[in-house]
Amino acid sequence: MRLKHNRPSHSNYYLITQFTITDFKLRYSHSILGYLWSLLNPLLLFGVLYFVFSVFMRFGGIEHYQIYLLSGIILWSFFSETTSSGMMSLMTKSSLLNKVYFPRIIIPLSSTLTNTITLLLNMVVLSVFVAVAKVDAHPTVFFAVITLIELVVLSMGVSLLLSSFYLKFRDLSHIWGVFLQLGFWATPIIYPVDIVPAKFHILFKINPMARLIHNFRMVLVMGEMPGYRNVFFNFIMVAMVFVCGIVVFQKRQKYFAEWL
Amino acid sequence: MNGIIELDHVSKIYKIPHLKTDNLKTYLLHLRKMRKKEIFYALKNIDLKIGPGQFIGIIGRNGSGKSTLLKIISNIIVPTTGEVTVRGKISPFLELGVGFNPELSARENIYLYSAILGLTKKQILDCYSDIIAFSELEKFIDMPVKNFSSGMLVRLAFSVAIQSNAPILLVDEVLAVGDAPFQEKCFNVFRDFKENGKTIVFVSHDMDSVANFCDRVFYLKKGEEMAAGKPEEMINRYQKDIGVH
Repeated sequence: MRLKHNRPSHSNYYLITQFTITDFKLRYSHSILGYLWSLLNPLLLFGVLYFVFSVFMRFGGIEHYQIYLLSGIILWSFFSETTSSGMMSLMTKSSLLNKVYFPRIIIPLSSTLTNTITLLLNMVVLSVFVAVAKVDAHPTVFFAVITLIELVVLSMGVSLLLSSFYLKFRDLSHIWGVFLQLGFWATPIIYPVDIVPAKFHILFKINPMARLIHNFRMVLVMGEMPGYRNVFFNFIMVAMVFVCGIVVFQKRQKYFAEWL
Repeated sequence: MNGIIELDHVSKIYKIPHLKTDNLKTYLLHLRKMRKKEIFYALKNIDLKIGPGQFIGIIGRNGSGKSTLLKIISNIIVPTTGEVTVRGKISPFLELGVGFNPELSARENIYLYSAILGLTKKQILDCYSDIIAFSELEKFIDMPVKNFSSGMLVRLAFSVAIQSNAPILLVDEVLAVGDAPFQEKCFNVFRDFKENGKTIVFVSHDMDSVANFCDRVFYLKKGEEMAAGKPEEMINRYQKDIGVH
């Protein structure tokens, strides 16, 4: 079987931005209030967890626990929402898949980018909290940007993997939902790493989300730069997931229209 | 640029498992049953060559593989065997307005749909006023398209699609919805396209338009190409087979 499709001047960038902006508009139904509603969920989670873990039980020794908690929640909920909606993204655009050709990878990519806009808005909210909590400004904050980019690329890779399997195995959404629940507690989001016995620390080392969240807090709150080995290892991990996602996706994409 | 389509011994085989599933649980529970498959030829050994400026009709009964053929040409599905060569961009008129979002206004949908059809931002801005003029929907341009009638939707989509400037057009029974004056307008556009050397593949059950427009007709029967030839001849054979006349 050989295919030669010669398709010049297909404007893929324009299509990505169109999909991204349209989805964003639709999600927040054309209103700024729409975005505020979407903030309600992570803020409520933050409020409840903050109350439970700083009033009922106390984790000693965490500087600026509210920032520690909120940054963890924002980063984790980005990962969780991006991968869940990315998984469904091909399905929600199924009518297009069946009728028009364009590079399929545009769909999960723009789905991730839509969530990235929300992430950036959430970062504004976080910086308000940071200002109110009077966290010292550290020059290391620029590294937080790199961490966020890694987070976006990681979520993109996972979305590519999930979406390409979801068409064939629809119960993947349940499995992934359970996995995310587990991940929330297996990642130091609400608790500090040092209350966990050392023999479990391996869990955090192989968990890219734990590593990214840890680095993010380190540069934001403590003003410390992560070590070279840490940076290198994160980069490799994220790149591996992303490349794996692209390869698997491209291999499976030609059958998407048949699996719908 | 000129559009060329070549299909060389193209077959599309669908393997239909005895047990069809879209979830992992059933798949794992019935591994052995899943492996038993029925083989079904949607297309069998199709050869086809369409050059620039040709207006080709494809006729055949439901399920004869017409849509599969168009999908293979437009790269939506891949053939099981054989070789497909397409030179030039394709503008699919397979189902007009398939990318429309009901919540968005007509204006927003124009941008979205043109991006889906592969236009660049500059191209869209250049022809934006032409699109609106052709669709005759100036008054409704900021209205969400969920309030549009199906005729209005087709008009809007068609107006965008003809701007895509692709040398190859695939048209699948899309003109059935618009009213007579608009259909006339569409056919005029197709006539222009043909004169400008565009390649058009037209799938229809409307024998009058096939006879009117096509230079050559392929008659598909159960996924195997029965014949290719002059429109009148093919239409006669088709109508004899289905028992008209």
